[in-house]
Amino acid sequence: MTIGTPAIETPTPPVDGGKTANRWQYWIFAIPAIIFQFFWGWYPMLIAIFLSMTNAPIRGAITFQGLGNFERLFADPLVADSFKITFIYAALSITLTFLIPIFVAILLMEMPPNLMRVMMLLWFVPLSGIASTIFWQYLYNEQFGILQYIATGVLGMPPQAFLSSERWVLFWLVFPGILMFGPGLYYMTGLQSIPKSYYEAAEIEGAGFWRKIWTISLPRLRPIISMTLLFSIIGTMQEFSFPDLMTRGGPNGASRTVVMYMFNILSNGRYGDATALAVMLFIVIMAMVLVYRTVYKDDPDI
Amino acid sequence: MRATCHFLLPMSSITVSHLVKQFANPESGESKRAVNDISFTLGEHEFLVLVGPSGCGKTTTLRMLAGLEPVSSGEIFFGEKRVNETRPKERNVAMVFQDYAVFPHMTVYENIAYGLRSRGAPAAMIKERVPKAAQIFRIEHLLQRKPRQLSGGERQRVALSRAMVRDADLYLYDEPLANLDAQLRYQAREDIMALHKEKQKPSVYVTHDQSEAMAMGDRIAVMNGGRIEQIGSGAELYERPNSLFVAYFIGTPSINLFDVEILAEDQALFAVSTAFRLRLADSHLDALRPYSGKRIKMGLRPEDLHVPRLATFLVSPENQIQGVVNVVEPSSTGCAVYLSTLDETSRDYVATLRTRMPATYLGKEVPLAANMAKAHYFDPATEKSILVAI
Ligand SMILES: Nc1ncnc2c1ncn2[C@@H]1O[C@H](COP(=O)(O)OP(=O)(O)OP(=O)(O)O)[C@@H](O)[C@H]1O
Ligand SMILES: [Mg+2]
Repeated sequence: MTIGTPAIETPTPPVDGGKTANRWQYWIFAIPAIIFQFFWGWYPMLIAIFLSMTNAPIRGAITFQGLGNFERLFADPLVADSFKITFIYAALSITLTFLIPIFVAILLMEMPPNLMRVMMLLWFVPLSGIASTIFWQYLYNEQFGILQYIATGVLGMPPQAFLSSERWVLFWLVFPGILMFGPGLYYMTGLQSIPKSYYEAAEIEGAGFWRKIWTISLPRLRPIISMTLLFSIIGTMQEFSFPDLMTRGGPNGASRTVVMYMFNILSNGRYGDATALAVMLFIVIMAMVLVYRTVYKDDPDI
Repeated sequence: MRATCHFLLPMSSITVSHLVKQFANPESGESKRAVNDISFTLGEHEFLVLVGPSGCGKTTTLRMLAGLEPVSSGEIFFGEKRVNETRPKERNVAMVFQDYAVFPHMTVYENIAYGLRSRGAPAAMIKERVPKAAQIFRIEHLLQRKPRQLSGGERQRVALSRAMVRDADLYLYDEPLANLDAQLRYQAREDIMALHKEKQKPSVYVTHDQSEAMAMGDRIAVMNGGRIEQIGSGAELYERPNSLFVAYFIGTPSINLFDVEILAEDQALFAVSTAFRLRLADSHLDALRPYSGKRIKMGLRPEDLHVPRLATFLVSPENQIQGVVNVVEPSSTGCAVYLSTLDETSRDYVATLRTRMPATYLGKEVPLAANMAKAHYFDPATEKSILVAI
């Protein structure tokens, strides 16, 4: 009699092959999203990358130009300028309009409920783009704007240039966002979903106002903060309409962002260059997002 | 020098006087008294247990003591100091929450250290105390975990460690053992008592488990509908309940209640129902005489019903109840017998016997002798005890 390995009974797979059936179902649910993503996302992108290496005419024959478009863009000092302006704009806008609402939201949560609701309306009004642009143009008006009145009449400063100052134009473009931009509402919802008992326990344990914010509010808001930060990066890097309406890129190109410059090139009929610039911007933003995703780790404990 | 100063500090007893908490309901506009005029004093080293059914205001009382809930009226004193308006942070209390409130984004270690860090304890002290507190509640192997990776019972022990790691002036526990199994609950109960012995600080412990209350409390306050029905030692509440509610709430199995009529015959009084006719103990005659001819409620604890031949008092037909055995439940000390009376009302009642009852008794008629000296009587209208003058 030979001693063999005891027959190990292999568990029989489910009769209906549940796994395969499930896979089919996954595909059925995923297909609409994939089709959508393909036609509105990947397909135009692939086309754009292809066109960026051609003269990209609106009609007529396409001529392939290799990296000629990109070489021309690298040689153009205005492209470098526009990237620099966009980075400054994005950085300013993110530090000012991204951080401040977090603290405003936290402060609002501390107020009595009725006062909080009124203040919420005031701070986080979703003003429509064009309307608020006109409104802010009035505020910034150098002769009869209210900000000029405050600067000269109230604070006794010399007349300010506001949007016509090359140095300060980017700041003044970002400034309205502090008051208007609405991620504050996301933070409020996030804060409201934090169980009250955490604050109560912290208070019993002797935590003061700042410690409660630092050890409870901010950690619990982390997922929302990270999401808005990502959207802010993507959004501000592509900023176009507000600065275009407010300054048309002026004074002297001091507020001309990448997308605005792209639009200029496009208006001059340089379709290939414009597409190449779009692809460049895409690569830059993509790189930033990738860096962000590797630096930021999701926390499963939130 | 410092030691002397310490003794000069006001005593750290807690006084609560006529405390009321009224919750307004914004929808209906009416308001509800969750806590309705409670008063008690908590000795310097005393461990007070609050018991009562769900919704009777136990948590609300604790929250007012901690300062988390503003009081509607009444006063709270810590020692000599009125603390009605003092913020929780300044009251220096420690609290174990009913829903733990363990911070999910911090490790167990950070959770336990939180209070020490908030109060600026030196790093060396934190390093020494946190593992010690975790060890007491047997979670020292979990210090680096996040609450997500813990069971409900382990989280509860984190909450206990977080509260006990600090030297507070008042310890508040809101049903801290509700989620532990019997074994762990017993252990944790012992640990809490040991810590209390060590710290010697006033403590209020909420539970709705009356056996836990009996085991832990120096005194027990029985709450019902926002009021304290009675406050006293476990034995006091058990032997001299001042109301039907307390009598029914304290003791397992619960006290047997019978509707009886008091009848006078010569000098004696009898409690009479269709099922039995029991002679009242001499010591109860004075209190019960005004009730002769009236219907009242009589309470007999399960342990005051005995097998006649084992009774320690004289058994006669005048202190016996006949019943038919429905269920026999063996216990560590004997058994619990569930019976019903023989008359047409067939009232159910329980007796806990010190002997085992063989299963052959099931469905049989048995007589049990009632120790009438330990009977309780309640006015049916006020539900107050007739024996305990208040
Ligand atoms: N914030 C509140 N607003 C309105 N009513 C409340 C509020 N908190 C508690 N109550 C009410 O007050 C009463 C007492 O509540 P409390 O939480 O003190 O009960 P409890 O004795 O702790 O009960 P349990 O044993 O179930 O924890 C309940 O009827 C409850 O509905
Ligand atoms: Mg409660």
